[in-house]
Amino acid sequence: MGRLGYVPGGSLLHRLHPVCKLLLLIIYTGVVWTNARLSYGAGLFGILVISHWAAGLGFMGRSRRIISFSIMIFLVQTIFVRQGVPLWEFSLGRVTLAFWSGGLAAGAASVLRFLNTIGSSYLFIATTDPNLLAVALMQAGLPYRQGFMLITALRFVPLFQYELIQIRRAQMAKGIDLEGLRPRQLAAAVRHLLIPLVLSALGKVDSLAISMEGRAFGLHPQRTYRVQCPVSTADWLTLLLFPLLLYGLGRILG
Amino acid sequence: MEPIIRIEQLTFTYEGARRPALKEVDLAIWPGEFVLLTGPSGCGKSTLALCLNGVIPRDYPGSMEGKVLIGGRETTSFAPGELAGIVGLVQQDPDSQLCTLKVVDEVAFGPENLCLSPGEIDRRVRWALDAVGALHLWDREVYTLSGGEKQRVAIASVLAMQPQVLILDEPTANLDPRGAWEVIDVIDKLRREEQTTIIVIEHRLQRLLPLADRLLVMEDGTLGEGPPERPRAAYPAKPPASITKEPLLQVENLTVDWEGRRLLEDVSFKAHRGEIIAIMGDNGSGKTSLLMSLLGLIPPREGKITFAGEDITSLKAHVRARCMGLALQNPNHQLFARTNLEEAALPSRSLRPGGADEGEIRRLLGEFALPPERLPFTLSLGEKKRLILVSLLAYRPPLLLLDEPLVGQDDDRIGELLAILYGHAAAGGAVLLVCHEVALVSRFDRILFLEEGRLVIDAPPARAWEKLCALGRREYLEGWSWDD
Amino acid sequence: MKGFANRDLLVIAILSGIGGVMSTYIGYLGNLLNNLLGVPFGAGQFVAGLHVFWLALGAGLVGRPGAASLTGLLKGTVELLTGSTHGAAIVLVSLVQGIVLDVVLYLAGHGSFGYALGGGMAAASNVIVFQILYFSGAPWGYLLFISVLALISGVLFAGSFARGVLDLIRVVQPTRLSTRRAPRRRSLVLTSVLLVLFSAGALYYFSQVYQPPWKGPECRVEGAVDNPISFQLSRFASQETTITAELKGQVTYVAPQEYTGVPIKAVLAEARPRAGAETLRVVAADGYEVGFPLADVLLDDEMILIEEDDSLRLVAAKYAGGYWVRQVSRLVIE
Repeated sequence: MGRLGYVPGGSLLHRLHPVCKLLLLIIYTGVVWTNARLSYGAGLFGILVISHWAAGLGFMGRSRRIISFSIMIFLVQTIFVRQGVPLWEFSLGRVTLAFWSGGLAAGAASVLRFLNTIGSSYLFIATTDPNLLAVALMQAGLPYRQGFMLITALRFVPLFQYELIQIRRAQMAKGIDLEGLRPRQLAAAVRHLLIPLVLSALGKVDSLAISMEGRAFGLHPQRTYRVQCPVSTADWLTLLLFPLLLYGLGRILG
Repeated sequence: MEPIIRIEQLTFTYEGARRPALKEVDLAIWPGEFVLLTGPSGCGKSTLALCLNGVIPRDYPGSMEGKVLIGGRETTSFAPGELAGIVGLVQQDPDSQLCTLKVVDEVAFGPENLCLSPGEIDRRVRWALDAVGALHLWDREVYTLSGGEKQRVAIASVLAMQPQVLILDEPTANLDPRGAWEVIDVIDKLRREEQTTIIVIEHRLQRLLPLADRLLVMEDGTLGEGPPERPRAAYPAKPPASITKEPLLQVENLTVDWEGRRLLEDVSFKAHRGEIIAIMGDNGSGKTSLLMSLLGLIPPREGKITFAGEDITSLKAHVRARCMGLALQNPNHQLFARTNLEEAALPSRSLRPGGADEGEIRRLLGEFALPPERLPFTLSLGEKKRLILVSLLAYRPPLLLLDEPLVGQDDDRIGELLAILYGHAAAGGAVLLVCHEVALVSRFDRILFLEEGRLVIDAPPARAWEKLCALGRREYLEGWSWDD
Repeated sequence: MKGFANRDLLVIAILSGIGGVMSTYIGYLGNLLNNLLGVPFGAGQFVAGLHVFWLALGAGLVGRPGAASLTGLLKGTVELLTGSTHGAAIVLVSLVQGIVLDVVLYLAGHGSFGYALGGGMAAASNVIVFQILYFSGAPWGYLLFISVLALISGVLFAGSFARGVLDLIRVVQPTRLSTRRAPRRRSLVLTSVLLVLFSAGALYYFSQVYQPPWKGPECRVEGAVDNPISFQLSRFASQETTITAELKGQVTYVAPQEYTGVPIKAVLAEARPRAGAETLRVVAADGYEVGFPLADVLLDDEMILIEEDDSLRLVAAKYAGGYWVRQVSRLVIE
């Protein structure tokens, strides 16, 4: 089961303050989303690859869906963006498909943007303990009742994954197999999957509320924490230097 | 000395309910007492627990008369959460009362909410985990714990609040015998070593009764002092059925892996027409995995499964389901339809040649006291389990695979269910069922006992009990809930 | 936010948890559908509404504005942290869906109309967000097609199905529900008209007008040419030239000054006008256009395109101010 994406480790990236890393992710993603230049995208991609290496991680996992979505992005851009010079053209019956140089460039840039987005997110989640992230956010000022929702939601992820598998197995035991169904039957199967899942999940709310409120959750406007997440000089330094690095790269790659 | 808990003429009726859940309850409990509260399911035990920690009447709509006083003060005069450090409640389901990702955070959760200093929080976490013998679980992730471990962590997380009263509401109900013993040992340790007042709500009295200062018995909302009436008649014995020589099901060297874990290792056994076979073992020992693998829900790594002489190892689950009907443990994962009738007919639609036989299904529903037009999701746990059994019986698979079908059933119902299973065997079927009630499974033909995925015992009951003792697993036998 | 009771927050957390877990499964369903219909992608939009389903439940169970947005934000974060294939983009997509649903429910109320419209719009909003991020070049027809698919899916799953499940939850009562009344609807007609206008406008804007900020202005050469091209000025950078010109309009006058740009004749040389073509029409984005004799243009060194205020402008030194077209978008040869 996938559970959480966190890969424990001791690299510099692992040791950075979670909120600092979140800010870095936001800055990086912001830059990725507002720039379409192919060269800059490639440069950002380079930073990403180096960071993965520095954090001791392979470059992302689960390649199949990533590749298929990349291909989709690339095809849409190359087929529909008609800029530059047409490179080649062919007819399929009445439809003529043409590939333009600008389309290829736009396709490549969009794919890089996608890879940069998911690559940086992967780097973030792989090096950040989600529990520590929530605690750090709450210590940085997020109201704790809201902050704990993240922890609680994550707490139940493995349980829901397990329940989902059980329900699918129960369906198969009743002779219902999803593969090879007609759309109408598929819709019924989905309904039959979601309803027990929702009811079973909501059935936990009462017990959870009694358990949490019974331990003084929400009694005081503030709370204390067993573990503190201190901000180090390295955090401040990274936060300062990273935007400069991105800016410099932007200038160099024009 | 003042009683820590005093209840005067307490009557509570849930909104929309016709009858009160609690009727004119009077009770005084003294500091340091260990009180056992018992009674049939639905008698109002849990409602009483919720009255003690103030959740009723604050969070549950309904009408309340009388008074509940904690330390001389009425619960209604406490601000929400203010009772948290005074009355602690541990609930039945180990999973839904833990809200954080790691054991240490779970136990620290309460003290952190009380705004204690980090040093004090640490001290309390250490103390509470030590008190339940779970210091070694400190850094573990909650989802990797066993049921017994989760329940111990839940107790520790309440203890860390240092409550004056600790209430445990059926803390062992969802656990296997080993987990239940772990929890009972913890309760015993707390009773001996701490000053806390303890109230345990429990069906299974055998082991706790000698520890308790007092036994309270609740019935239909009214409270009396024990001892309880001597329960139940003996279960009917299985009538002799002709057991065939040729096996109906033959499993050879079955090994099953799932997500990198070995669930079953080299399991071989046979089941014949006319047989009822009980499967026993700890949670996680592979009981459920075995049933699922037989149906093909988890693909085998190695091994061969033969049904009525035919190799079915490579058939898909929805095809195999024609010859074996599986009821999973948690009925909430298996109900899909809008009415009991529809639900009971669901498997027949795809698995019975000629589709569902509505007349037969209505007859079965009647026999199991299930109204055909009711919404399945609103049934009680026992009723849901019976409904699933009906849906299997409706298409008559020769082999029934039942995971804990008797949990949540009243005694009368268990007798009826047994009669049905005996009838199925007599008609040339076979039953494999997971069950931990020694008194019950002693009536069956054979016991399969699993330990860490291996089949370590395959023998008739009397012989199986001897072997269990030899394996050092007496906890399965020590008059766990009923003696023969 | 302080309006949410602990129990509301727990319902939201629980729904976000399952929503996050289910999104992988929904992706798998989308693939099943693609295989079923024999298309590589697109049919997946049929299940887009399932992502909004959880937000609709959150809104229905909590019954106050902001619940869908909070569920969306939390569900997106859970998906991010459990390793969604879309990374941080999923937080944005999910949050936007929640906001759209909240706004519609606030305006239209928690009736079946509100859920159907809100669910549909929220499901379609993911098409727009993904279009901005990754599919900037996709044409209007394609966008419309998949938006409609997503919209239908949203109406079905987040609208009617979620309403059905909410009713079921009220009967089964797996948890004690908040007794708060859902807010009343505002004007129904006004809401639907506003929303239809808004969505049509958004779609039109993003497909026809919207130029992502990172793209330079571009221009097409079409009509009687052998090699229709679409270009940005940078492509002809090597042929850039600087001329001095004086603008004499009927009202405006700009004294002679230097302009740097690309000669039109260089652009046309690349496009190769066919024999027999006579006129060049220079068309602006706002529809304004002027015509020139083609033969003159092909000899004119002082007729250039320059970049000005993020758009293209024609500088025609030999012609009056009226011919200095701003916001040039097309050059048509006839």
